[in-house]
Amino acid sequence: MTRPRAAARALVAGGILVVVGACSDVSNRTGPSQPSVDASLRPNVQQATADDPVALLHGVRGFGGFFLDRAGAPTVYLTDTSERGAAERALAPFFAAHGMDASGLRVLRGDFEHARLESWFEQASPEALAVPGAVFAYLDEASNRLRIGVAHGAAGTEVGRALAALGIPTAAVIVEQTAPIRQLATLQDRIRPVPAGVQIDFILGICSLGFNAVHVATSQLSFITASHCTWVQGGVEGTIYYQNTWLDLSGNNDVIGTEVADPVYFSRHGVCPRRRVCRYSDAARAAYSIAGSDVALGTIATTTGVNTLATDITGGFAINTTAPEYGSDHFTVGSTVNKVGRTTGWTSAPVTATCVNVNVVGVDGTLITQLCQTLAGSEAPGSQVIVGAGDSGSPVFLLNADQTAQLGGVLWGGNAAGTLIAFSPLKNVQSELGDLRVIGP
Amino acid sequence: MTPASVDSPTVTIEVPSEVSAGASVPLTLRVTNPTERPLTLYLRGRPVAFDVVVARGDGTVVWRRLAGAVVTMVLQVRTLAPGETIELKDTWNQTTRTGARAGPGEYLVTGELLTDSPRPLVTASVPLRILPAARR
Repeated sequence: MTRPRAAARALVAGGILVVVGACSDVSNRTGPSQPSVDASLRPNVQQATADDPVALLHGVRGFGGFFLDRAGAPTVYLTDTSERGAAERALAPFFAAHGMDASGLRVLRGDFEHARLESWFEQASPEALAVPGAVFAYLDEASNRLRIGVAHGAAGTEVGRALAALGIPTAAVIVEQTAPIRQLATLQDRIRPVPAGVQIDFILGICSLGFNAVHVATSQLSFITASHCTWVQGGVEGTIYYQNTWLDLSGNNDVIGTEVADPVYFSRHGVCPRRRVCRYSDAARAAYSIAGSDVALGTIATTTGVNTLATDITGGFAINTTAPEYGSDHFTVGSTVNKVGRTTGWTSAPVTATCVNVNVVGVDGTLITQLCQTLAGSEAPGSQVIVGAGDSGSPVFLLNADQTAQLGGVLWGGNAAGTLIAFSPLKNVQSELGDLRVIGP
Repeated sequence: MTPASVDSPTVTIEVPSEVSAGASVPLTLRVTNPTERPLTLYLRGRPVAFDVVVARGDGTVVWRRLAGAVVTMVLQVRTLAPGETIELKDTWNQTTRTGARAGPGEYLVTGELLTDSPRPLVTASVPLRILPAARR
């Protein structure tokens, strides 16, 4: 059992340091000469360990930075390349600990001593990151410079001005444009505007938001989820929905809508088995109570990969504008359907049976038969898990070659192992809830 | 029985030790909070989905409650007070998965509580003896 979701995770700046790599060799590099750094700037080398080559190298005259290049070769910047021998000796514990040979050390001519860069960095970082649009700042071991990331050119200009005011040479700083670093949100987090596939909470349980739509007859901006994700399965009792949770301790008002349509289950003999009640979809409609700008009409959240069970949101599938909906209640056996749900994320599986009448136990113990449903996945032992508790209501869709989605239905069930899904075809959903427009105007 | 760790419920299954051939076998899965503080459970389905496996002594499964069944995928969040127990009940009519009678003999019955994890909380297995039908 999992615990309630923690807040979204942040990217760590350390990850950036690892991926920077390209540099030129000593023969190619030129740059301004630099006076030797005052000994007082040099850190104490007594505490250096084999795992900290930068600390080991701090006692070497003209040391400017250390990194592993893209081929994994240990590489050092020296303002005086004749100090190579000193660098090799200083790195001896590092080489021994990592099974490396000192002869493999690459030496690049540096322009700035590391201690000087550290001193500049301590001054530059707070000033640079105070500029609106600044994204990151670090001492780039791999370029023998400070590196400042900015979201746009204006921020870059402002950062340059701030660093010049500190007396930091322009040549010692690389200002580069970069995408803002955002916290990764998950399908279980509070997301605005609200896309399909994210968590909804109705106090009695947690499900997934099937898809956003305008109810054609009433023009209500709505979302669809499973009928059993209402307070009473079948019949309208005004279930209130929260996204992401009714227990939001951060003070947000997470109410997003109220149930407005959930047809009662019928018992017409000839269609519905005796002693059972039936419907053609396990689906209900809720009217949004939040602003239209907070609703991502035509978008299904997507995660970091299919069938990985990851729930980190990385973007969204746009619902295809020319063919937004799959028009039949029959799906081709063997064709692939996808779903995005708050528990198991984006998963896909081949359709194994179409227009299946499925017996299921309703919320209150009522014996229900869901008519003309579709099954996808496999019950074979060891099959891929594609569904979990909380995925009820998930959008089911076909993925086009251009990665746009064609909406196919609403997920409501699965087998005990979570390797098979059952969903109501969109055609059945619309026949019971009315016509729905699933893309924007 | 699922061991009671810091945040785990105790899950047990109860069946009669002996039943006559052909008799309905009552099955009760109990979920208890053994701790001294409230315990939040994340359970699958409405009603809560649970599986029961009946196997012969050699491990051959003769019946599985949820074999071929589709359960709803809603996530129920329930909080058990200290010491509180919830009971989930069903019966087994002694038919195997092929529809045949299980027949007299020794069986082991195991319960599985489905949660938001792919792996269920599993009870300890308990013995069940099916006695030959009484002759007139």
